[in-house]
This record gives sequence, C-alpha cells and structure tokens, in this order.
Amino acid sequence: MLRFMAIRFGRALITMFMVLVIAFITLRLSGTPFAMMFPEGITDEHQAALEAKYGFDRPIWEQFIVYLGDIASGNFGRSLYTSQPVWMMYAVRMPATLMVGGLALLLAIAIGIPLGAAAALYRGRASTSAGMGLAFLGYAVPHFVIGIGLILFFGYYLALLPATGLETPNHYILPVVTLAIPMIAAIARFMRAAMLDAIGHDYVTTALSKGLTDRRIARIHILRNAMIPLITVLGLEIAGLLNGSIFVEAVFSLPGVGRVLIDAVQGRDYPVLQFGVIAYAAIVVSVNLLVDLAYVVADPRVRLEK
Amino acid sequence: MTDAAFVHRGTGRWSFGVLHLSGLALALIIALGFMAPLIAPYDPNAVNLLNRLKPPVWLDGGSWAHPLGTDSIGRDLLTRCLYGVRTSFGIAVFGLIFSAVLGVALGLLSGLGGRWVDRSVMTVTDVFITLPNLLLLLCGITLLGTEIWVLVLMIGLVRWEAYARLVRGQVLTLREQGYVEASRALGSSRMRIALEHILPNLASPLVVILTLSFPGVLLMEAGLSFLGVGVQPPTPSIGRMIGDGRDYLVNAWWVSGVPSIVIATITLLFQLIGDSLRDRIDVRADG
Amino acid sequence: MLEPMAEPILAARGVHVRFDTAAGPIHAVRGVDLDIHASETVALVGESGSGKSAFAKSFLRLHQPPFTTPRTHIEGTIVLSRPDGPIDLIALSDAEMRTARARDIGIIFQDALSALNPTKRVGEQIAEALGEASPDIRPKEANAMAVDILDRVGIPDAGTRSRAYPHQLSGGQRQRVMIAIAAIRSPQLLIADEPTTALDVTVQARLLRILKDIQVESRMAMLFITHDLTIVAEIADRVAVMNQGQIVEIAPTREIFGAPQHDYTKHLLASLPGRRLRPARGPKASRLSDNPLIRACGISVTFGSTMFRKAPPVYALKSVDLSVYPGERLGIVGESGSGKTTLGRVILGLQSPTAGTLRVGGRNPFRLNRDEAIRFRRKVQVVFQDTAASLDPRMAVGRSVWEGLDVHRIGEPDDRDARVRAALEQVGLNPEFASRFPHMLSGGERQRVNIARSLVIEPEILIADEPVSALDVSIQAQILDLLNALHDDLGLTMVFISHDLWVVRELCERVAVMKDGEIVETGQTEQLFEAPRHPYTRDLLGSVSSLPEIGAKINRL
Repeated sequence: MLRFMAIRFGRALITMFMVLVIAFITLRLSGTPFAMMFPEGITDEHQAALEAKYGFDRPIWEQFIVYLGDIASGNFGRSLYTSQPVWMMYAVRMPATLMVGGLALLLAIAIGIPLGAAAALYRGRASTSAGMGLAFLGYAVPHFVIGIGLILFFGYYLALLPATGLETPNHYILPVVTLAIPMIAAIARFMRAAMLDAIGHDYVTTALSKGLTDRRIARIHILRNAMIPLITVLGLEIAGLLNGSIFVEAVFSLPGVGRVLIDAVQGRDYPVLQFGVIAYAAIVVSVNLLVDLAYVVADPRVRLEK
Repeated sequence: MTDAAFVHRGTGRWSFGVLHLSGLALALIIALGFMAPLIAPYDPNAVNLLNRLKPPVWLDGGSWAHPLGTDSIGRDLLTRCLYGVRTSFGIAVFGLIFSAVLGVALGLLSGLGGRWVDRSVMTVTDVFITLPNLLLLLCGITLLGTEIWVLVLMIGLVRWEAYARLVRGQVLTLREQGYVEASRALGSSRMRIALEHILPNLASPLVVILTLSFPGVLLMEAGLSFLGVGVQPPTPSIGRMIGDGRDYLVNAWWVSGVPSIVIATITLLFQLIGDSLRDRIDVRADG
Repeated sequence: MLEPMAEPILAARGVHVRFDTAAGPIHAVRGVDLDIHASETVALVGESGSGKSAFAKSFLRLHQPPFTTPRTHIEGTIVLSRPDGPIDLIALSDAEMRTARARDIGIIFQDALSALNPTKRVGEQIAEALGEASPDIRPKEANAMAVDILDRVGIPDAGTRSRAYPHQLSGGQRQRVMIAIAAIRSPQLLIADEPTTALDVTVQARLLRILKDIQVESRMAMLFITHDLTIVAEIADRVAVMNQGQIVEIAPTREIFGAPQHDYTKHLLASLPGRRLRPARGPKASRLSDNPLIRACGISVTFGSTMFRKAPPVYALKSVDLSVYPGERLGIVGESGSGKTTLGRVILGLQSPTAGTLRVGGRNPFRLNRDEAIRFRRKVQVVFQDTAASLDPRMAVGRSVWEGLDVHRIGEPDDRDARVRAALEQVGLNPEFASRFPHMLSGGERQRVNIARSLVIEPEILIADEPVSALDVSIQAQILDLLNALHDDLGLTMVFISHDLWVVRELCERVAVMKDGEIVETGQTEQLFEAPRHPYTRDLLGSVSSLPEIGAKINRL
C-alpha cells in the first residue's frame, strides 16, 4: 500500500515537472516580452541591456532553473497588460468558480448516484427509463448548448430565473444546474453500468443463497462494490469541472477564473496563461492523488497489497 | 449456462433500428454539409444589413427567403450552418485521424516494444491523461495562433493518449493469447504477428472507441470557437455562431439557438451510434 | 452402506427448467425425478451442458441474480420435508423461499473466488448467512460462531483469518469459507456444485474430507454435483447420471461402477483415464545409449527482481535437469504453480532461462541467428490447453493451419491448400472444416485443429500443455487416442504437461513430477506409480484414486 502510494506520488511529481517544462517552453517560445512592452520598437542596445537584466542571455537550462526558483518562491510574474501579479488576478475570481463548481459537484453526486443505481435495479420502469433518457441527453450535449437552452427557457421564456451574473442565490441556480447536468449524466450512466456488472457477479448469487432480502443484497453486496470504480469517475469529473466551468462562466458571464484564462489566450498574456496552466494542473494532480488514496481506503484488494 | 447471460447490456433490444436510423440521419447531415457550396442558398459571408436578425420561417416575420433566419449582420443562418458543419467536421475528422495514427503507433510501440520503450511511452501518456485537454489546447493556440491546421494539430495532440492506452492494453492482452503464442512457436516474425494477428483483432474495438470519441473531438473545436479562441471569423463555425449569438438571446434567440440545435443533434446521433456499437462489442480501455 | 429410509427429505418430481435466451428457449432440465434421504450423499454426474447445475439450482431458484427480468421457468414439484411439515420449493412465495434458503438448504459453488464478495471480510460473510437464518442471534455471537465454524473447516488461526478478505486466502481456504457459509446454519440439505473442480488434487482431497466430516457432524444430506467420476466413488452413497437434461441412470455407487446399465454411463466410465489402463507402449526410444533430443541442465527462471526493487527472486524454475529421448513420451506432472508450464515454454524457446543450459537437438535455442531460429521452430511445436484462445478468432481455421506452411515455405504455394486439407484429415476432421471459423467448432474439434496446425510443419517434438484439461471426459479420451495414434504413426517425441496423473499414466512411458519449480522425482511410469519414492509423489498419488482402488473401496463398503 505504501509502495502503491509512493509510485502514485512519484508519478504526480513527474507530471507536475512536465507541466512546468511545458509552461516554461510556452513562455520562452513566445519570445521576449519586449515587443509587447514597447510597441514602437526599441534599439538593439536597449534590448540587449534588458535581456541581460531579465536573464534572457543566459543558457536555456539556467533560465529554467531560475524559473523553477521563481515558482518555488511564489513569484509567478505579472500580467503584460495590467502589471498586476498574476496570482492576484486569479485569487479575486477564485471564489465564484469554486462556489459554482462545488455546488454543481454536490448536486451531481446527490442526483447521479441514486439515479444510476435505481436505473440498474429497476430496469424497464418508466420513471427510471425516462431518467436515463435525460441522462443520455445530458451526456451528449455540451455545456454551452445546455446553458443557452436553460437561459432561453427559464431566463427569458418563463422569466423565472436571472440569466447572468452571480448577485443573489437565485443567480446560482442556472449555472450550477448547467455545470451539473453532464456530470449527473456521466455519474448515472457509469453507476448503472457498474451496478449491472456487480449484479452479474457470483457473489450476488451467494448472497441470494443465504436467504438475504433483495434490499440487503442491493445495499451490502451490489451498491458497495459498484461504488469503488465510481471513485475514478468522480476524480475525472472533478478534473472535468475545470473545463466545464470555463464554458459555464462564458455563457452566464460569471466573474470566475475562466474569463481570465480566455482573455490571456486572446491577448497572448503569457504569464497569466502560464499561471493558469500550472494551477489547474496542480489541482488535477492533487485530485488524482486523492482518488488513489480513496481507492486504497475503499478497496481491500488495493489496501492490503504489499 | 452462465448467469451473466441474463444481465442485459444496455439497449440491445432496440439498438438495431436506432443504429441504422441514426447512421442515416448523420450521413445526411454530413452529406449536406460537404455539399454546402453546391446547395447553400447564399454566400456564407454575404452581409445584408437590411435583413438583420430575421426570424426563421415558422415564427412571425419569417420567410422562406431565409428558412432558418439571419444573424446580426444579415447573413443567412441555413447557409452558415451548412458551411459550419463542413468546417467542424473537417477539423474533427482530420484531428481524429491524426490522433488515431499517433495513438495506434505509440500503443503498438508500447505494447510490442521492450520494457523501457513501454515504460517511457506510458509515462508520457500518463502525463497527457492528467493534463486537462482544454489547457493544452489553450497553450498551443496561444503559441501557434488559430489557423485551422493548428486546431487539427492540437486536437490530435491532446486526444491520442486514449487510443494509445486502448491499443497497448489490447496488445498486451492479445500477446498472451494462445494463438499469438502458437504463431510465435511456429516461427512467425514480430511483424507478421503484428499485422496478421494483432492489428485485425484491434480493429473493432478501435472503430468503436473512435466513434465514441468523435463527438468529443467535434465539441472540442466547437467549444474553442464558442470561446472565441478557435476558428476565426469570417470562416463559418457552429461554435462561433453560438458564441456570437449570445448577445441577441433576448430578442433573437435563433442566432444562437439554431446552431445549438444543429450541434446537439449531431452529437446525439453520434452518441446513439457509439452506444449501440459498444453494446455489441465490449471495449475496455485499460489493459 | 446406508439403507435409504422410507421417507426422503427431498423429493423432486417431473422437474423441468427452461431459459429464455436471445437465441430462443433452452430446455435445460427435462423431467427429472430424484429422492434424497437424510444423511445420504447423492452424486449428480454429467458432462457440461447436461443440466445438472440447472437442476440443482432450481431447489433454491438461484438461476438468476436478483433485479433481473425473469427468464427462467421451473415446472414440477420439489418437496422438502421440514420438521414443521413438507413444503414445495417451486411453489413457495419469494418470502418463504428466502426462509428456505436461510434455514433449510445450503449451497457451495465451484469458483469460490468469484462467489465471495471481494470487499467484505470472510467472517462477516459467514455471519451474514447466520443472521438471516436466526435473527435473534446477536452480532457478537454470530461472529464467534463464524470463527468457530472456520476452525471446524480446518482454517488455522481462525480468529485472525475471519478478518481477512477473500483475496488474502488460498483457493482451498476460500472454498472452506464457502463450506462454512453453507454449513453454519446446519441445513438439512447441502448442495455442492463442483466444489473442488478448480483446485489442485492434494487440496481437493483434503477438502472432500472436510466436506464429508461436516456433513456427518451436522447430519446433513448432500447433493454433490460433479463431472469427475473418480471423486464420486469417494463420497457418494448413490450416483445419478445426467445427460441432456435427464437422469439416465440412478443406482448405488458400487452398482454404477460395477454394473452400469445405461449406455451413457458405460461410455462415461470407458472414457475415464486410468480405466483404459493399457500400458504405455514399449519404450522403443528410451534406451539410455541414445543421445537425448532435449537436454536441460540446471535451468532456472526467476521473476520479481527489477532494477527498482531488490526483492528476493521468485523462482518459477529452480535448477531443473531433464532429458528427453527421441521418440519418447515424457509426462510432466504437477499442481498449479509447480512450474511445469514454464518448463514447457523454456523448451519451446518462448521463455529464456535466467540460468542453466538447454540443448534441443544439440543446439541452444537461445543462441541462434534468425535463419537457425526459424529452423528450430520447425522442430518443436506446441498444443495449448485453451482451445478457443489458441486459434485466431478472425481466421478461418484452414488459414491458421496454413500459416506454418507459409512461415517455413513448405511446399509450393499451390499445394499448400492440399497439405492443409491432408493435415485436417490426419487429425480426424473433414477437410471442409478449413473454411470454418473457430467459434463454429466444438472444443474437441478446435483442439484437433490446433494439433493439425502443429503437425503440418512436421516437427520432431510436440509439447502438449494440458491439451485435454478443458474438455469433457469423453472428448478427452478421443484426443488422447489421437495423440497416441500420431505418436505411433509419426514417431514424434512428446512432452506431455498435465495436472492429471491418470492422463499421464495412460499416455507416457516416463514421468517427471514437479513441485515448486523443481523436479522431485523422475521414473518409468509404471515404476513411479507402483512405488513412488518422493513423499510429494506419494501425497499426489494418494489424493486421487484409480479405478482399481475405487473398486477396492467400494468392496470395503
């Protein structure tokens, strides 16, 4: 088990290192920022002086080490446009993203797991078939189409809910639901498949032969075993939340970090983009580690391996 | 008699009809898209400010002149949807081919090569799987711009790892199969085994996973264009049309709504096909 | 021998079982009558597909997992005599059925690893069975009773082991847990559905003893389902032979073996390896003056140690010495994990040894250039156990046979087809089979194709790795006859790897016994069977009975 976690941790470190390399290359390949800083052009002398000042004249590996040092000490650079420290640009917008994402995740788990479980246990019932049909829709249609559909229907046609911004609790409803729908669909579909798989296992027949009630078999023998592979899916979904929130924030004009990132891409604001990449990757890598840890706790076959 | 035979996998009963119907519908949409220059009623970029924001024909004020209405500068939405389907499919198909070639080659290399080759390829694959696709795409686009070839290249670069894993997993399974061992015992060369026994047995799972991942690739392009960092105007793209129409949601929903319906239909059809294919051929991505 | 009492505790009358499948209805059980008396053991014997499991499962209506659309139709009556009056198991309501499962009948399945829940401790799984039977038992008592019964089924240190998960136990221990689950409720009837089939013979023997002990202690009746007639003799009072959904013969064990009535029973008995004790033919080639065709010296294969991990190496083979002489048939016998398959793969040149030298036909197969390697391949061929996996599912079987001809450029391209057809005929298949695909063939037919593929390139040595283990006994006999005939006709040297002593005894002149990666004993077959020297060989031989021994046992009864 310790070995298992050590391997996973090592892999996470390698991944983060590769991310830093990619971020560094992106930053360097984009050229020196002087062209951006001095649109009217600068003299060669001036450029050479600046290069020396910022260390651009040193060998590339030395620059990489300096870069790693900067990052380790929390110095991620400043925006080429606003000169704000990049971490601050993200920090002020983080709460909105976290709030919407967190609520969506809770909603997706609360609906997706029971829906998928019910669909596996009560196949052929109209209610569960309808639920899975909707899940199928949610799985196939992208966030931005769902969002626009919801805005049109609840925001304008029924005029029940606010369509943009995050001023009141009501404002959260549409974005959270939009972000949650594809997750609900993915979780429900996976849960259904995992439950069906578990039902087909011999240990369920053994449980049946003990004279257990269907309820107990479902709870103790089917559900518990189906939940273990779900951990992986939840991990993927949490990582996918990052992708989804960019779209949802764009559709609903939310003050989240997604906008910062897209603006950085459009304006080629490399330091800003670079921080986003590193931060996102760090989150995903941590989530993956948590997933592995959860596996270790949940599955004795992993936990007790030497 | 095994009990597992009683556990139904998904939608077996009705998948025959669904598979064929959705296949036909999809083929029709694709054909229309690729024939866009021949059948589209207008030039996709013909601006007509007098005809701004005309509604589709079934709404008050709509006319057959513009069956799906017009956008904010009077371009015909039907025409632009047809061309947009063409653009999106083109990028998605080439991106998918690129990623599939890359993935299959690396997967075969990993599965059939030595231990160190396998280990290095898999480390890179793991890293790529961990990284959010969208971030890689954004990095690439920031660096290389938003030319169409960049989109194809980047989509290929972020999607290959799934195929590499599938192929490697299958190769590792197939390699242990008795018939591969028997062929080795007969004296067959590695090449012969790869071509005669491994690739043909890889084909069907690969087709399924490619079909299943096509909507994802299509949506990747659409999503980037929606965010404004994909296909650039004036080239018509479904995603871009949806994104640009956001400003008119209140009084002209169709500017976003029509292309939304188009892309939702396409991805749904693909999902239906992929699901029923998968029900027939059991595919596992991990080895 | 037990005198059957007047009243059976279980009486099945006219039982039919039908399954609806996508391919149409299957009529698995066609009108079966069976009585089982208290404390009696009835063996239900039949080949795969005979309907024996389907019949037994209808006692508890276990054909389908819960939460699935009903697709099983059971007809007839199965009356169980309970202290509080008889009940018809087929007519019970779901709730009453649950009570019957919890109190009256216990069942043990073949594959304990999949029959146990991988994420629950075994003690909990045993206690769970008890809890449902008698709801007034407190959890603490239930756990104590679970530990107690684990101890009774012979699991050492039962207190600690009850907290283990199934994957931490050995195959034999897992099956003991299954016995504990079934027996803890002291049911009136215990159904054992091929409980030892997946296990090694020594484990098998111990398990049967435990099963028998538990049965006697708890005074249960037992229905023992198996395809293996040799086991039947050890434990059954009466034997019911089942074929194609019907019981064709039912009689006391001694009569079944002594004077079988029905043709199918006779056929089954005749197919038993060991009954056809014809001494393996004259060892025309094992003259020691001959140079051995295969000579292995100090072959070791280790796994487990990598660059990153300095683990003590795991030996698959530990310094194995072995010679095989031209024209000889050598049997390699051992239980799973003994290294016999690895040894076969080394001789085939598919697995390189970590130490030791190997000479096949005077050459080292691991020191060959490309051309020599291909020529070597032509000399040594192989037949595997898994008949389905051994053939490429996407190739017509003719093409699989053809592949070797193409690799070795044997014959003109035009006459290769004729050679393929001839090879199929040689193994007793219609040449028409060439255009069929593996899934259209039966297991026995597929194994014939595998043999044809190996022999078409005219090898000197054939390595057969458990070639009949996956086949029903009557098919086994046919394949063994075929291998015998091919040996006589072609003068092949054969290395025959098997866990089944009787199969080896029938086919081979010489036997090597393997245990834990080592050869513990080699000798002429008859000698080794008559007077085994190594304690493990004795243990192995003691675990299974030959038919003469069975006869002796029955006479003692």
